[in-house]
Amino acid sequence: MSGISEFLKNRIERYRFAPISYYSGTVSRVGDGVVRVASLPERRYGELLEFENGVFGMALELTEDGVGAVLFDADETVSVGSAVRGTGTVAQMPVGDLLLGRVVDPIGRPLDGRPLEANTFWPAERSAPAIIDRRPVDTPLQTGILAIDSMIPIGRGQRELIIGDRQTGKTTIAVDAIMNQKNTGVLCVYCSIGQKASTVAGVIETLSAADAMAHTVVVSATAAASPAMQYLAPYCACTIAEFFAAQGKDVLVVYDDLSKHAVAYRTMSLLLLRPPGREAYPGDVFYLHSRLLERSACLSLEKGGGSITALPIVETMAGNISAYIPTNIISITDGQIYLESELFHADVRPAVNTGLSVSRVGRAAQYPAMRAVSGTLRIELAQYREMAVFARFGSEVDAATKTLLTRGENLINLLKQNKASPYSVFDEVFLLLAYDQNLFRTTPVRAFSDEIKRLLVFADTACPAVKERINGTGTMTEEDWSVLIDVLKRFEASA
Amino acid sequence: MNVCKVTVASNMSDETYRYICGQFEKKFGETDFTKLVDDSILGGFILRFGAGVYDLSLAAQLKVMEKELKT
Amino acid sequence: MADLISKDMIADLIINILNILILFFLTKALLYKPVKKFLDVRKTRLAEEKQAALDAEASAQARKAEYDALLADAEASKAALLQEAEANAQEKARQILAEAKQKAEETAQNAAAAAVHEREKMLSDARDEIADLALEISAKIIGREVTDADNLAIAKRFFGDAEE
Repeated sequence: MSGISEFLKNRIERYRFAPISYYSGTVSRVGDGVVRVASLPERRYGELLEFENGVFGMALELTEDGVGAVLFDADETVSVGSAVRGTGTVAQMPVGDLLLGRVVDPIGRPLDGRPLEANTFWPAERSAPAIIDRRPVDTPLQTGILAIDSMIPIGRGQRELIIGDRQTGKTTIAVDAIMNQKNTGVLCVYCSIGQKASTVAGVIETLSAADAMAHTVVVSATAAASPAMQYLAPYCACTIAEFFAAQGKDVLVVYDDLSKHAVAYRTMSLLLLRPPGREAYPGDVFYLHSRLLERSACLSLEKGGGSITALPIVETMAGNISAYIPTNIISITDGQIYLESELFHADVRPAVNTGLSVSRVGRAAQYPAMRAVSGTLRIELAQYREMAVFARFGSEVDAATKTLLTRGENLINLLKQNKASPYSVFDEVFLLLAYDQNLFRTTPVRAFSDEIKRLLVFADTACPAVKERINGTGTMTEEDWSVLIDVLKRFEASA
Repeated sequence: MNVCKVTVASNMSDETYRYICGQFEKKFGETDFTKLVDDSILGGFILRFGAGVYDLSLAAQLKVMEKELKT
Repeated sequence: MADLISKDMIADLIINILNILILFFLTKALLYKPVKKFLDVRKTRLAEEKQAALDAEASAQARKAEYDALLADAEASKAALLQEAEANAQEKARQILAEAKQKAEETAQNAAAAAVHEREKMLSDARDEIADLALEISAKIIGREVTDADNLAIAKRFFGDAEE
C-alpha cells in the first residue's frame, strides 16, 4: 500500500500546469459504426480520434467539409453534436518483450485481465523493408509436421499460405507450428481476425497447455469487434513482429484468417460509401494484403539479420481456390499449403494435397539431412496417385507396379500425424530413412502409428549421439547414415 | 472577423473576462466574443474559435492528472 | 494155424485199421486242426495284447517325461516373465511418479505466477481507485476554493506565454 502512495505522490510531483490546445470538431452523422465529423481540419489519414466518453475511432476519409471515421468500440455513446478531438497520432501498438505471453486487442488494450504498461509504441502501418535490406531465405522453420517439412518446406522469412475449406485443419497446422518453436528462439505472434471468441479461447488454452505462451503474443479481434478493429488487427500483429525482427530475432506470424479480414474491410468501405468492385470488395483489396505481407521478410545482416515468417490463412468455399481473395493472396505469397476436405474425411490428416501445394523457396530452406532423404517423395506420391486408380479395381498388376502401390500407401500412412504431436528433426529424418529402406512394407494400416512409435522409441536408446547431432545441426555424416541403417536393420530383426 | 466562444466558471470576474478578450484580440485581431458560463470547468477558461480549442480549464488539468496517475 | 487167421479177420482188421485211419484223419481235420488254429489265434492275440500294453506303457512314460520337461520350462519362463513384469511395473511406477511430480511442480509454478498476476491486478485496481478518489476530492476543493485572482493568474500566464 505504501508503494501505491509513493507512486501517486511521485506522479503528482511531476505534474506541471500546461495549456491544452487541440482541434475539436462536432459529430454531424453517426450510424453503423461510421461517424462523420464536421470541421476538423488538419487530420492525418488513419489518425486516431477521441470521442466523448473515451471512445476511439480512426479517420479514414478526409474531405474539405469534414472527416469520416470508423469507431473502434460500440457507438451508443456517440451522438450528433458531441465533440471529437484529434489525438495527433495514427494507430499505434505497444511493442516489446512485455507482450510475450499476453493477449491484446489491436489498440493495445490487454484482454487477459492483467494490466499492460508499455513505454514503446510503434505505428500499426509501417513501410515494408526495402529491396536492399533483404537477404535470401536460407534457414528452415520447422513446423514439426512431417508432410510439410519434407515436401513443402518453409524457411524463415518466407510467406506461406495455408488455404482450404472450413474445418480442414488450417488453424491446427499454424498452432502446431507455433508450438514447435518452443526453445528454438523463434518468437510467435498469433493474430485472430473475426474468429469466434470460443475458438480463440481454445487456441490460447492449447498454447498454454503446451507451454508455448511464453514465446507467443496473441492479438485478437473477434467477430464481435468492430470492422475497424478487425481491419487493424493484422497490421498491429505485424508491427509487434517487426519490433522483434529489428532486434535480430526470428518471428513467426500467423494471420487467422485473411478472408475475414477482407470481409471486415469490405464492410468498412461500403459503410464509408466507397465504390464496390468485384464481389463488392473495394478496389484496393489487393493492396490491403500486399502491404501487409510484404512486411514479412528476411532482413539483411546490416539490418540485424532477423526475419518475419508469415503464415496467412485463407478459407475457401467448396475448394474454389480461383475465387477473388484466394487468387490475390496466392499471387502475393511464396507458396501455399492446400488442404482438402476429401482427404480430411478420408482420415488423411494433415489433409495436405501435396500435388497442389508448393513452397517457392523450396529445398534451400531444408536441413541437409532432410534434403538427403526427402528427394523422391513428391515424385513417388505422384506416381502412386496415377497408379492408384488401377488398384481400386483390384486388377492384377505386375511386381513393379505392386511395389509402387505398396510404397505409396506406406508413404501416405507415414505422413499421417496427430495434432499437437510434433516430430523433431531427427524423428522426421529417421522416419523418411526407414521408408526409404522399405521398413514398412509389411505393416498393416491399423498398426502404422504404433509401429512408428516403437521405431522412434527404439532409436532413442539405440543411437542417442546421432539423434543429438541431427537435432542440433541438421546435418548428417556418412557415418551417421550407416549407423542409422544399422539401427533400422536391428529394429527389423527384433520385431 | 473572428468568432470566439469563451467558456468560464461563475467565479470569473468581469474584469478578468475583459482582460482575456483584450489579449485575444491583440493576438488575432477583431473578434466577436460569446460568453458561456459552465461551472463544471471549475476554474480557468476555454477558448473555442472555429475548430481550434485552447483549453485552460482546471477540469481539463484534472483530467491530465488522472491520465498521469492511472498509467 | 491158417484156420485161426481167416480172411474175414484180416478184412475186419483192415477195415478197422481203415476206420481208425479215417477217424484219425477226420478228427485231425475236423477237430484237431480248428482247435489248434483257435488255440494258435488265441496265443497270438494274447501275445499282441501284451506287446500293445508294453508299448502303451513305454509311450506313456515318454509322454510323462516330455510333460515334465515342459513344465520345468514353463516354470522357468514364468519366473522370468514375472521378473520382467515386475521390473516393468516398477519402471512404470517410477515414470508415473516422476510425471506426477513434474505436473505438481508445474501447477505450483503456474499457481505462483497466477498469484503474482492477481496481486499485480489488485494493486493496479487499488491504485486506480485511490487516484479516482483523490481527483474527486480535488475537484470538490477546487470548485470551492478557486478565486478570481487564480483565474487572472492563469490568463496572464497563458497570454504571456502566447506572446513570447
